[in-house]
Amino acid sequence: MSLNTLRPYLMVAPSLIIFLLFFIYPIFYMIYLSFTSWNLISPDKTFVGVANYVELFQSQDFRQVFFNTVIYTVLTVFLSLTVALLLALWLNKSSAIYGIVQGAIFSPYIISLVSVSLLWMWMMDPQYGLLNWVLNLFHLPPSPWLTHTDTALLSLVVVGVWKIVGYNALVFIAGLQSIPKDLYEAAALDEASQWATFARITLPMLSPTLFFLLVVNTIASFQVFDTVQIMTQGGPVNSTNMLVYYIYEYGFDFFKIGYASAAGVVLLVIVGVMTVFHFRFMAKRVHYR
Amino acid sequence: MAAIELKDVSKRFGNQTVIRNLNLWVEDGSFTVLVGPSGCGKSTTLRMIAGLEQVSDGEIRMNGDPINHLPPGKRDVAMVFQNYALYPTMTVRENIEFGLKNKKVPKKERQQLIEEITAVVGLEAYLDRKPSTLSGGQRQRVALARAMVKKPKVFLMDEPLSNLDAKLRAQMRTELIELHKKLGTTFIYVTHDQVEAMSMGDKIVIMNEGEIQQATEPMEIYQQPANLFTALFIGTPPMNIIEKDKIPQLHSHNKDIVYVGFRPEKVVLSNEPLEGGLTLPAEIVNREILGHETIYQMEMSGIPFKVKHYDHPLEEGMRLFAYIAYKNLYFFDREGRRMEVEENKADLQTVAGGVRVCP
Repeated sequence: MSLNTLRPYLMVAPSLIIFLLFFIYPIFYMIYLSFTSWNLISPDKTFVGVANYVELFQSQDFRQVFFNTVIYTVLTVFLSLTVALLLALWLNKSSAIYGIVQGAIFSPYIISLVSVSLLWMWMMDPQYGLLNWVLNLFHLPPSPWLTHTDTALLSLVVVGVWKIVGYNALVFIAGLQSIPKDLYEAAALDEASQWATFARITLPMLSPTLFFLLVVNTIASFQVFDTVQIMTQGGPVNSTNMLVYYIYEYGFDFFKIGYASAAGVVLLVIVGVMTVFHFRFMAKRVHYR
Repeated sequence: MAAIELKDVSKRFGNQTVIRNLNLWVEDGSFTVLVGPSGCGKSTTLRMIAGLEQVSDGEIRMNGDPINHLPPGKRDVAMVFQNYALYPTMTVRENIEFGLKNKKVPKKERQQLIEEITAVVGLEAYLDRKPSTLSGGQRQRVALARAMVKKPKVFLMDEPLSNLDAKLRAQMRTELIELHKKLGTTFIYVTHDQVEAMSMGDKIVIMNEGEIQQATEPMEIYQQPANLFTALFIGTPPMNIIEKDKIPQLHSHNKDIVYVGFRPEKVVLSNEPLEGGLTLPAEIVNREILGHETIYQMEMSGIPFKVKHYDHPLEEGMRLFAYIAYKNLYFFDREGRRMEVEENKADLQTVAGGVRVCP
């Protein structure tokens, strides 16, 4: 092979090696590990076949973790999209004050969730927390927040929504601004009510944005970790334990690498399916003109 | 059907006045064209009639009743937008139906109306298609159908043909004229294209810088321009305007005349000086041959002017006499207002090539 035919391969080699080494190899290594029993330290990796998967699907804990993740995802995505859309409709104006508010609600997105989780823990403290103080101010009963199985997952949802809502609102505002103004003028001449204008023009025109956010938010929420790790460690009584934290726990607390890898493969499949759905949808995105 | 009246209407955006004390009477059933260069306020005027812009001052009346306070949907007007503004997520049928649904027209009646209208504009085969799958001309028809189905008292059109190619534009022009005849409804049509204005309107309103320059029938605008602006705006190539002092052949006692104008197509080229008009010795500097006509760029001692002729093309560099009959000369004062000097024709004396041609 002459140097000339080799050259393009040499050119792409560095990035290809990095890609294979840090993206492809770990995935296959994880799949391999999921068929073994290993404690991370011992040199022997015992091949155990599908035993890890059988244990995983029979585990009551894993089932709860899976449902926790689904509930967390559904609630976070639904609330963050709804609130973000309302915020976007309100903030879709060009004046300095709206710009400031936009910036303010976007800021959680760029702040480290680890540090903010500590702030939220302090605010959610049942005795001295700001949130219960506010509830008390309105003569509402205090909430146990993170300390009770009924409310702990919802408390994490609150933080999750708070974190993502500004980003979603910003994307929605961009979507709203790309809707041609003359459509609204045509609707005004067509005597459309505010609701008809929203339901028949704004929402359909926003559907590509909406679906984009839906998929991105779902994938992100499914992989929630920071808040669980910092605020609850999966408790109380596993009520806030979710997939990624579960994997982390089994891998690096209990050193059951094979079992953790099997859970990792399950997560990979779920997120993979959602990603494929995402790309399929992006290809079919509504385009006008 | 309705007559529209604008009384002392002004429009300000911030502290910038775009329309100043506009008074306009749009006859019931007329095809009125608002024409002018971009930024002259013609679109703003139309949008104020539609209710998409609020008037800053003055009043808009429909059949004598003020409609300023009414929202666009309650004014009984329909509008065709420059880029059609079709609802991209709705099918053609839904696009046409949307206004009727909002007006709570019963389903049966809606269907009947849609069938009726789509037959008129020839869209029957496309009812279930989305606008993005239609051609420019078809979209234009959907926009028209959407406006027509509401049976409005007034049609407002904001440069509806400017996005079409030249051939389709000419065809749609004819169709719009026929549509107007068939419906008999008042049309108010905005364009920056003087050809469109001349060919379609039965009344033309020429605007500039937020003020009406002249509002009358097409031929009258062509023959009796009110000022320099209208004289230069209508006609291709535009009227030749020369300062009177630069034409030694033209003598006049009337000190108010500052500019003299004549249309390129009214010039007669000859080898000999002719009598009974203004004769300018000039040279052909350049020519544009368009087949059925030729446009000459001429020069008379440094002063350029254009001549349009339908005869066989003449050679560049030829020295000729350009003759313009008295009745084809226009006179303007310092402010550009046209002056009627008909009765003073005898006052004018023309000297061509040092020879007095006319007493």
